[in-house]
Order: sequence, then C-alpha cells, then structure tokens
Amino acid sequence: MSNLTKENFIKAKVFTRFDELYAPLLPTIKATVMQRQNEITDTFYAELSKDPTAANIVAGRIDQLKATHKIWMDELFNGTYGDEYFERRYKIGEIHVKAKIAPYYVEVVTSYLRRAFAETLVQQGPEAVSAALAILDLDAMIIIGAYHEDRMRRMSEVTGMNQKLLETLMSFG
Amino acid sequence: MATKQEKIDAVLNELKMATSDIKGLGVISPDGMMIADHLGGDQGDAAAAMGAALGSLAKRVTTTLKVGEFQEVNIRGTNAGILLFDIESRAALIITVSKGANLGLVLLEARQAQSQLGQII
Repeated sequence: MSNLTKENFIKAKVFTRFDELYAPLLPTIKATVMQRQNEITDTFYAELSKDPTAANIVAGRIDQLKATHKIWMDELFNGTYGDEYFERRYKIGEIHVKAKIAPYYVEVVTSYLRRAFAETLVQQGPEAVSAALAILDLDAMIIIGAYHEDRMRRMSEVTGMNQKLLETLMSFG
Repeated sequence: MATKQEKIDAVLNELKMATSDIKGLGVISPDGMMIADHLGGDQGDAAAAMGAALGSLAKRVTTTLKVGEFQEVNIRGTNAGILLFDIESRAALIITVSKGANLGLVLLEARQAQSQLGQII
C-alpha cells in the first residue's frame, strides 16, 4: 500500500519542478558525489555506530549495509525518477519499517547526508547543491511515507476502522 | 417505486414516531459517512464518523473477546443516551435517546428497524 505516499511524491515533484529543474542536473554531479561515496558512507556508519540503539541494528552486517548504501547513493543520481524509482525507494522504506528502525534515524541520517552532499558540491554552485538536496528530500519523504502508511495500517488492524474512517476522524482533530 | 434513500428514510421516520424517547437517529456507513441524517443539529458529519468508529471498535472488541457477532452498543450519558446497531456490517443505525428513556420499547423498535434496514441496504 503506497498510494498516499506515491501521490505525495508526484505532487512534491510538481511543486518543486523537480523533473524540470533538478532531474537533468543530477547525473552531471554523480561523479563528484560518488568520488566521496566511500568516505560519506564510512563516516555515516561510524556515526551511527556511536548510538547504542543504531549500533545494535547494524551490528554484524555493516559491510552489507555499506554496499546497499552505495547502490542507493548511485541511484540517487541516475536521472530517472518515475514509478520504478518510487517503488524501489518505497521498498527501502518498508525494509526500514520491518527492521523496526525508528524514523528518527532516517531523519538524522538524511540530515547528515544533506550536509555531506552540500559540502561535496559547494564548488559546483548552488544549482548542484539544490539538485542533490531535492532528491534527498524526495527520498526521505518516500521512506517516512512508508512509516506513516504502516502506522495507519496497524491502527486500522487494531481498531477495525478502515483507513478512510481514520482519516475522516483525524480531520475533526 | 421508492428509492433506497426513501425506503431508509421511511424506516427512520417510523422508528422516530414509535416513541418520544427517541430524540434523533441516523444511518451511517463504515467509512463514517452519513447515509440518512435524522439526528437534528449540525453535528451530523462528526456523529457519522464517531458512530462508525464506535461500531468498528465494538466489532473489534467482540471479535477479540470471542463474544460472537457484534450487534449493538449502548452508551449512557448523564443527560441522554446513544445506541448503535450494526446493519449487516454494511452500515450502522445510530439513535440518541432522552434521559430515563424506556429502553425496553426503544430497543424493541430499534431492533425491528435494524432488521428492516438490513434488507434495504
């Protein structure tokens, strides 16, 4: 179930004029970012490992997670951001949800990556930085969307209320 | 030939006429939408959503505690009461009753309406 998140992804792309302004630019900055990929990934896992909860989550599979992170970073700059891109990213969100990784970690890691990308791309100008931040924001939105939809699904299961009713009830809040 | 809406309204009107203890009534969908609003006042949308929520939770509780199929909920407030009746899991009948209402008569009439509405909806 990813309809709401997908709708938001499409709306966000339109709102930010992502396909027009940023999508064409992202492949042109890929090499610059990927040159620092190992350093960025290593630093971020080193930082994560300082947090006891996160350290437990990544323990024993850091190499595997680093390899996955490299693929994820590579795909950020592939230049196509349609349905297939969305579905892959949403799947990542679902994996985070299933692994019971608190959304807090998605947010702090995204924050770290925003700074790392900005530092890496600052020499290439504001458009390059904006493009990298725009795709990071979209990715974070999709992953957080997976958490939101999982919570709604679980709330629906526990209460017996369908999701439309839950949304209606919240509109009275 | 009467429309479904007219048939529902007819059942509700008959029920309302049965006893002055019934102050308002309505039929609501599981999504929390009002199908027929005879509640009076301007709380119809909220009443529909909360009534549907009440029905959903009641259904969940009856399933969890294994007490059979959910049939009805009776809420007693200090000033009035609220009754909710399941209609074949496709809708619910919500009724507000006055304080000190003759619940025997209200329940008798309401269950009959519940059965009739089950055939219409």
